Amino acid sequence: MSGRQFGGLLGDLLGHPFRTVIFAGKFLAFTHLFFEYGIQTAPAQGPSMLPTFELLGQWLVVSRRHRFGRNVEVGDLVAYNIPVDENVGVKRILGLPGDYIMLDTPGRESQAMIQVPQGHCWIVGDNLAASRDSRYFGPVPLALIRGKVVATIKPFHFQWVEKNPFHRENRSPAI
Amino acid sequence: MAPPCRSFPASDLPLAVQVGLNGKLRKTDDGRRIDLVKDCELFEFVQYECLVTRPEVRNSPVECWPVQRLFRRCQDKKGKFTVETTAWEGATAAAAATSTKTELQQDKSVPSFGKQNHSVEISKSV
Repeated sequence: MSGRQFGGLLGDLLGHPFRTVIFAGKFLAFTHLFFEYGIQTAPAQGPSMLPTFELLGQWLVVSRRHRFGRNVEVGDLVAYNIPVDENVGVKRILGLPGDYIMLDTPGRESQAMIQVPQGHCWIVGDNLAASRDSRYFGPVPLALIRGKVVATIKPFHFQWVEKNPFHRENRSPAI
Repeated sequence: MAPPCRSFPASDLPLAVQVGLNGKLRKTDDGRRIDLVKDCELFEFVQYECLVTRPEVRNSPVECWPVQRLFRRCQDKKGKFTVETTAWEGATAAAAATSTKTELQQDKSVPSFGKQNHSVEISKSV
């Protein structure tokens, strides 16, 4: 019975090759549209984003709506094409065009600062000790931003990324 | 590649924030200069210095020390912009102001800025 049904379905598909090609084309186009302009998922590994992300075994959900740095804000986590090699990395945006940011790690001897140039952003990993980021290769063109990380997935566990990691500080300044 | 950028010391920050990306003076609604302390809200953001204590072990514990960074969100006529004030008004600046920079020079492998006496130990899968 099931063999006959399968045979019938196969027969239908083979009997209408044009319809099958159209269906496959639509499916491929929709899949491409979804992953190119909607949501992408990718496994994350490495120590540069500890303790926000784990070393291994976590998947990231990346919103492609924010590609090329569209509507990203300071504090957002972004996936980007690393300018010095072929890989994709994940870092946190700490400066957008016109913002002022420290060139080095806080606490180091150098306290030089720069203004982030037009069309660029300043990205830094949450684990300052093991991150290769703008402190190493300078401001990153916004065109290299692939999207914004919106959630993480582990087996049987889905978690949205914290929206705004900046907290109001209510102390009087030292100077 | 990014265009050449002029760097400046953190002490010049109050002056540097007066100039926008186009090289012109920033304009505020009432025509005043931007006062970092009065006009810009202060925010704190914590990053970390983490160490995988036993990288050869799969479930190695990870030790993290918080590194506090300070930012101020200012506004001019064109919109909001962010200024990192860690080196200008943070603990480092306070230490420099009171000439007690010895702690900074003791351990350069882990920034002493914002480093607390205790570490946060987090178990992570390696």
